[in-house]
Amino acid sequence: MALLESPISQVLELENYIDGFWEPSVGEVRDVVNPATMQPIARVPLSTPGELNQAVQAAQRAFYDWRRTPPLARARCLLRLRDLMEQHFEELSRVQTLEHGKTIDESRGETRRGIEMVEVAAGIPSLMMGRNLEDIASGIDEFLIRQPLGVFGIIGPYNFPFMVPLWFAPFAVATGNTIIVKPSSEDPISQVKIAELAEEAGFPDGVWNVVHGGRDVVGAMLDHKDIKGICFVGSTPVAKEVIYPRCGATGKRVIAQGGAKNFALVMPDADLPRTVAACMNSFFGNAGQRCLANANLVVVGEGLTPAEHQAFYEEIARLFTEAASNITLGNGLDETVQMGPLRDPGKKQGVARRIADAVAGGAELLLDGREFATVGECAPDAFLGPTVLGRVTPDMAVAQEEVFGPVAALMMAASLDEAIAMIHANPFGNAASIFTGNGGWARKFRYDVECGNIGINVGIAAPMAFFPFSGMKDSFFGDLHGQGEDAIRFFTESKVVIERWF
Amino acid sequence: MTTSTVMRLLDEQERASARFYQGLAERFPAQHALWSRCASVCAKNQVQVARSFQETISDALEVGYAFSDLLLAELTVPAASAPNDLAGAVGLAQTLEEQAARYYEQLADSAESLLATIPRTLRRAAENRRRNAANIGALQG
Repeated sequence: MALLESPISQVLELENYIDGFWEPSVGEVRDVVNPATMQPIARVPLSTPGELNQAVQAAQRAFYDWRRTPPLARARCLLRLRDLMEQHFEELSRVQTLEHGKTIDESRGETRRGIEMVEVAAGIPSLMMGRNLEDIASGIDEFLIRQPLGVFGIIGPYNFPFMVPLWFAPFAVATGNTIIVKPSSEDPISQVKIAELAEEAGFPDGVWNVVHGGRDVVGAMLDHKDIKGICFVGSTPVAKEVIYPRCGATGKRVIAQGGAKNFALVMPDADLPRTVAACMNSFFGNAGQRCLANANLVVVGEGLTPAEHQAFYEEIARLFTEAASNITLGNGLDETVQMGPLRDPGKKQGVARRIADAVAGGAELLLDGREFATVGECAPDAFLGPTVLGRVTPDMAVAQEEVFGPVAALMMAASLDEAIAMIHANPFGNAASIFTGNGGWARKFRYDVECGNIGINVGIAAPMAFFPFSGMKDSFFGDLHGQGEDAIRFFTESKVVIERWF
Repeated sequence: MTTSTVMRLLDEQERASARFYQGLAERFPAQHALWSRCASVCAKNQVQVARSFQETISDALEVGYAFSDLLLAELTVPAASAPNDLAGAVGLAQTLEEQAARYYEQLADSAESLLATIPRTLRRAAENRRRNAANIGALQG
């Protein structure tokens, strides 16, 4: 099928958006490359700490008026932004496909999720309300008031370049704070587009800022005394060893979401056709570059004899491998394509190394994604097909460590208890799914499993905008989560007033 | 087959069907109201299905895999030029409506539990096309 028309016709020269103006950076410039074609589509600057400081100062100045803007007026800005995002829905989606490589349907899904965040945050007049109680002692009343804090920094990842910063940004500005978004330097274009729309929506200068960059800008954000909090989504080592401790040392609030190694349990009574369809999206959607992606598929033999369990495993391995082998790879702007490339060739090489290591360590190679074909004309450099590894055991590295690519590890557990123990032995706690028709098993799983996001017959347990995006153990560092009521509390201080009149 | 592929096909089919009925409305003025209504139903289906997809799509839905076992070629657009005789037109239109309804139902079955509200919209579209078929059938007495 023909490719959809590209909204980017020439290489874009990206600039920072500071205090309502687009400003070129003096920093080094890097190419943003479309991984499906390996052609540059933009040039992004690695800004300097001085430029970050300019943005913080602008955001700090804007905060004074913005926090005094009535919540309903702030909501109207968000509603205008929402309307503009709807108008530009297809353009925003295609930009994501170009900058990241994901399929157009994945991008459209990401755009929809982003818009939902804005829609929910627009309910801020109700969401931000405090509470009160008369006569806490006779004649004395007490009030809880939620107040914004100031400037927040949002550091986005490459895997969901459009949506993830929107887990935080709409809630931050709705509550009266001002923001500095640092998009991933690998795919920063969609955040530029959002800032353009925010400007058109009428956000006052300095409320919504974008500063491109790398480690220097992140370091400057973490150390800046006027930034009150940081929202970060990225790898666990950075979240755990850099973001979280430095926010603690500088007194900042922090949401630091890290990596994952998610398990999907298939029980003997699962609806296999729908389970396999759900698993294709869960394991291979976004080319496996998703913190909610399942990576370990555990075939559970609860109530089965060893021979029956073995036969059940063989059946699932066959269905899963067959479905995975039918996935079409190609340029995400082709609507028939089911999987795009990884973000860049380096990431592909890293995943390929892990596949080789797993096979060397004893895993059975049921489907080798290192051998693949694409539909249409593509540069093969960053593509990797779905890989299915059989007979993986919990002690293998591929079962324990995050691969962040289209690799499924098939495992066996004799019982539900044993499968849950496998999940608990893993350091991550982002998500887990169970596929079953048994309410008792489902409840036990939901109740016992130490993971932030639980799927019952759902492969991607992605919380909606009005629920927190949870995470536990080495997948999350902080207290409150992004999205929903947690975000409102994260972006506001609770002030208590106790009042008596003489 | 991705959901986008299916949606694009449905969009094209409903537009083509609406054009087909508009053509019949011009050719057979005595049944103008019926053919126009059929065209209107197809146009509404086209909007409803597109809107359902736009409003429902999410990164967590199985948009790439819900229709894996379906074939695109099963729904065909009737020839642009409709027959000159009423009986021929009625027969062709009924075949088209039955075929469209069956295809919508097949899509809905395939997407059941995987695409949230989309299967419900597809079933409603199937009902609309069956209602068209019944109304057209009434012409045969």
